Amino acid sequence: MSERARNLIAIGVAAVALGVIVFGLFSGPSAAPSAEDRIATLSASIRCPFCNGESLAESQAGVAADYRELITERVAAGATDEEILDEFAANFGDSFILDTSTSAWSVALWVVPILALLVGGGAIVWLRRQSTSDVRHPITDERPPTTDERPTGVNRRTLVGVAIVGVAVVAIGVFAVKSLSGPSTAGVEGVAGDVATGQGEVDLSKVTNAEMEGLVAANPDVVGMRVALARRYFEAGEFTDALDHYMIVLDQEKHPEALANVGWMTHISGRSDVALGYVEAALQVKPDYLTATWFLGNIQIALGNNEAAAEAFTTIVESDQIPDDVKQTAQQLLDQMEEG
Amino acid sequence: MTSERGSRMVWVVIAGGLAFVVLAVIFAGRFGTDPDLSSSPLIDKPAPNSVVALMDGSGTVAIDDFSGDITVINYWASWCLGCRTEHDALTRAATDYAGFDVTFIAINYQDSPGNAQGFLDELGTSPETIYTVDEGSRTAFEWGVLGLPETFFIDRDGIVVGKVSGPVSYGLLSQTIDQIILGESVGDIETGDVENR
Repeated sequence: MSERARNLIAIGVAAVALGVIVFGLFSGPSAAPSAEDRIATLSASIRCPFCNGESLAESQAGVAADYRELITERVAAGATDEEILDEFAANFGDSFILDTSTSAWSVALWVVPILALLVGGGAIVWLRRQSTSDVRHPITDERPPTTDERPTGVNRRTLVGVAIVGVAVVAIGVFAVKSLSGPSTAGVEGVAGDVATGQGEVDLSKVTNAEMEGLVAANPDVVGMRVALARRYFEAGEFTDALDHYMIVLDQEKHPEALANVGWMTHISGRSDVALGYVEAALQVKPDYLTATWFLGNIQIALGNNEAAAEAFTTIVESDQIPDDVKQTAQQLLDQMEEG
Repeated sequence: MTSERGSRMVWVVIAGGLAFVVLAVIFAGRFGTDPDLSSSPLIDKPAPNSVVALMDGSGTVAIDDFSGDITVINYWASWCLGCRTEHDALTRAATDYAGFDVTFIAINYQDSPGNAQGFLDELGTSPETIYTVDEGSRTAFEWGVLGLPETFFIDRDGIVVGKVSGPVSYGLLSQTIDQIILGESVGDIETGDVENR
């Protein structure tokens, strides 16, 4: 086989591999997804604006539930996925769209290394060809058929082979990543069984409050589901319902979240002195519980215990697990206390 | 010949190095971008004509009902410490600027009616402010609310000209409204952190 033919084959294989990558990146599923699948995928593709990095699907916050409901309405009204994502991007910014597989940046992240591989390989082949073609017979000015020919050919084939294998590996990797990172479309069937046995990963974002109420009523000893439901109520500001469930949890165990959030609700209701006991109990169970520490600082301020509040806020400021914005708020409160 | 080959190699290495540096700078620039700090996409665009329910349950108002006015839209909740901080400044500014055809709309967000009313009972209200509630987070979606408190400014032409993330002071409110009255641009202003639940 001539060198030209080999090169053409190599280029052809590389082009096919690149085509496979591009197809893998941009192709959608073969079958039309159901409305539920679309809602789940869209919810997983949009960052919850109120929830510190979680997607709408992951977040239990009330606003995330509202936006999931909004997506459901849009889908029912016939909006395409692109229209819905565009609407979120227009209101919140492009950075809130988590599924950036078709953005210029993600394409660049995939394509640049591949191009670098091909260009680099091409440069090496070109350099080697130049170096061998420079060796001419001093009289005939022809390239001698020396033993150098065989090793050069072998090396070139090896290089091309390595390049093709590299591109193929990248192509396989793209498909692997695509298939592994795809959103789960598991339904909510079997939720009660999973809760009762404590097995399985239940996507609670798809379960309504009413369904969760039914589940905890049917499984009164299950703490995790009840805490999740109470958290929903708490985050929605529906403190009466939240309190009911947290108190049932506390009858069963000293759950740190239940203690902390009951403390915070008690504080908001004006009984900061009572709230202090709950939050301190939460920190006894879980000393590194930063949410409780944050509550503690605010409650101590309300009680006029600035020294204790400062200690709590200092813990917040010094933690490497706290988002910068919360740290800054804590620092501002510390500064205000110093200023008197 | 050897020197030509070496020269080519040097040029290839230089070209490769330059390409690497350019790409590294480009990608490093992206890594330093905090998506949380994105400015409001609504700035310099027509304000969404959101319809909000009045807190007293007497009906609804639409943003377009106040076209021709400068409109200040403030998102708040009883659980938001920053909202507590800025409340007095907002009520004072609403009163002081009422004569300039400046309308203040307070939108209660992700709150319970009892807690929201308790907040207003405790801290007071301004008769010039329209107190509303965002049911189902619909207007927060339209306005791209990222946390509380957030305050948007609409000029007399119905264009969103400014947004403050974090608590507003009276000085900032009056300065911003004065700018809008004078036809100056405002843009995004960060006074502190917005709060998430």
